[in-house]
Amino acid sequence: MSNEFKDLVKRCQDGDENAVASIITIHKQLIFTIAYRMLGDHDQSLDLCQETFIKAMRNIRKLKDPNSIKPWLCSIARNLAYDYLRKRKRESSINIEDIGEVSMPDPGAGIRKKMIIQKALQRLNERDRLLLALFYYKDNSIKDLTIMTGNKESNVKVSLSRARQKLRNELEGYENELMS
Amino acid sequence: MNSCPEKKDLIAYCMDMLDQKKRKLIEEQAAICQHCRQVIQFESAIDKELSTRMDPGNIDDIILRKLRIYKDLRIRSWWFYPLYVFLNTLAGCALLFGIWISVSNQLGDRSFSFPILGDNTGSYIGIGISIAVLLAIFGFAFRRNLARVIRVL
Repeated sequence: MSNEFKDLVKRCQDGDENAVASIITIHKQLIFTIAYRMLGDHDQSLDLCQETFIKAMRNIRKLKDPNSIKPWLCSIARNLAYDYLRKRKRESSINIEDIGEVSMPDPGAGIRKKMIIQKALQRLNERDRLLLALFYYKDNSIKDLTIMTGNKESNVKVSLSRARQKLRNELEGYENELMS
Repeated sequence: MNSCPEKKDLIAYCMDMLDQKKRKLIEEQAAICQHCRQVIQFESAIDKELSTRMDPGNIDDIILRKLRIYKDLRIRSWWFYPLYVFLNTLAGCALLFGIWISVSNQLGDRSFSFPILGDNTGSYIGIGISIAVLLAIFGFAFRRNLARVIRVL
């Protein structure tokens, strides 16, 4: 797998469009999931996802270790998400509490569960949201998280555990809905 | 384990972040305690929702299109701009040179005639050089299109 990635990244660096397409196809779910968990808005997450890949591919020659393409993409997405959130704070026109409810007045049980989780996530701070998004994307190990966040493994574990407990506290009272 | 474990331990159990010994203790407790089972069930439901992957759909083409536009507009190597200016200047000079020779020949001025080659040879050489330089510069400017045409042929 790592050799395959190495080859793909090298081809990207040489300007091979098929390799770029492959990198996008492999990582788009991860980047979109991070974006959505961080921003809680579908359209903005799509924009962020696109921007991440465009920025990454423009600077792909700067990537020294082809094996670190995933953490590299994640860190670009994370920085862009922080920019979006800063911008949003400045404009303060979006009420996070209302996200998803305007477009879906009568959601089904599955969507309702997603909305409950997303709302609870939005009440956490940005760092906790990012950690949870990265951890629960099953391809990522704790080791990956240490690379992506730049923290030690023990710190990541503690932060992750705290973030998850905070989320649990935010979900107090939703037991029936989430377990149905 | 005689009493229910702490909530944080149950969460850690669901996140698979406990060592084997602690895991076993929690499993034993959950087997006899309905409350613990319910907590684990709830935490698992949260984990399941958090693990859902989100699909952005077919954004590949949009990204590739945007990258293609960028590729066309991107800044070239450091030598490209000076070369571009130099070749344009050369093209202008070649054009003016050709016009000047033609006009001066028309007016009877034989400054560019070569005694050995004949009266008009100088002007022909001058115009030939101008056209060659212009063609070379056009070739350079449209090199990508030319390469594509050659590939098709």
